[in-house]
Amino acid sequence: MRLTSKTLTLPWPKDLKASDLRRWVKDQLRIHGDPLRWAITAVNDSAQDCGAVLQIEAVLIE
Amino acid sequence: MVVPTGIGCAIGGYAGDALPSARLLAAASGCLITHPNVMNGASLYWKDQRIHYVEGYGLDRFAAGDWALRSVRQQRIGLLLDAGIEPELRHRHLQVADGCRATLGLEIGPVVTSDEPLGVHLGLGQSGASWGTLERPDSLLRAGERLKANGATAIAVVARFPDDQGSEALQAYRHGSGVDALAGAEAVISHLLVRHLQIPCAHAPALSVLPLDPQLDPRAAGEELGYTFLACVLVGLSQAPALVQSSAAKASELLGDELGVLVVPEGALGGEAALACLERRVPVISVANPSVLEVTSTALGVGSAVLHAGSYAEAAGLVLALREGVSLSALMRPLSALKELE
Repeated sequence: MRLTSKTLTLPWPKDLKASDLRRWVKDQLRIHGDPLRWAITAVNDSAQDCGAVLQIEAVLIE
Repeated sequence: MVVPTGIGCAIGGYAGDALPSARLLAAASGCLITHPNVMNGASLYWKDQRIHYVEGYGLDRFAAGDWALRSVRQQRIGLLLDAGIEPELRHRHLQVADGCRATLGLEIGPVVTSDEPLGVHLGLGQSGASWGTLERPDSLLRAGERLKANGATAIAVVARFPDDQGSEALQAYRHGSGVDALAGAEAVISHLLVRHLQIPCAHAPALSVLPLDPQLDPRAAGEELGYTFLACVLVGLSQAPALVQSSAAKASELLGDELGVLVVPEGALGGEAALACLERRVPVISVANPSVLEVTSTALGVGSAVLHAGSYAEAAGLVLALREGVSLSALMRPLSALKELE
């Protein structure tokens, strides 16, 4: 088992409600490992004015 | 009540300094579920039968509806010591455990030392929140498995953390302006054990004693009263609820479905428990409590779904109103007249 820290920057899909964010973020994290501890740590405007961008910080189990 | 670990909250970002707010919310709600970062003041602690001490990973599972909480009269707390702790510091921790047995009547034991030094690394994320990892998580889990196999129903884990005496970050923290650099790695350690063993766990860091600082912020003072941070962990775990699968829960156990309201710092709505509450339509109160994060209800576009409180005192009033079934709009002015549907 190995623990890694990771920061993901992901565009927030326009059709995704805040109430559905938890499952979606966990699915995105599972691409990289099993999420142990994580949080959305920032919601920023995208440079291309294409909606919001989520910053997610996590510790993953690989 | 959630005050995430390691994000520098003005209330709750130091040595258990959200505990007075927790006591108030417990009185207002009659039943408060919160986590070690709120309750742990190193040598200082508080017992209240209305407060349930649930580690963060378990709290997230509870908020998501996966796990339920089962009240217990007494936990048998296994003590897990990092092999990286020096002999004298190790003795200090064993003496605290013995002191809690003799003076408080806690059931503690067995004691297990990890088969390798755990290798704690501290780190800060891009947001400024503290994170951190462990070099040898397998060694931690093996020691935890051994404790559980030998009768422990809860685990207090003590890992050797790097001393950073003289660092700017530590000085800022002691002076009340920084993020707790240890907190993120502490949460990783306890999350790992709770995820693997599904029993209550909490962590105390083993550190060298710091030199006296006359400028110490009162919020950090709880950590400078003794040689260890272990006493509060042992007291918290001593009656921490057992963690059971919701599908196996009995009627007397607390289920996520019964959660009445979540109280969380206004910038910390991006944590799993807060997002789970938004998902499950559990009322959320966001409290003005500055931190390094700004994931607010506005940032998430859920402004109307979240109640705002300017302080924990105001949040306690909102909790009491919800508990008593008093319409919140009746407490505000102006109060507009009713309109008939067209």
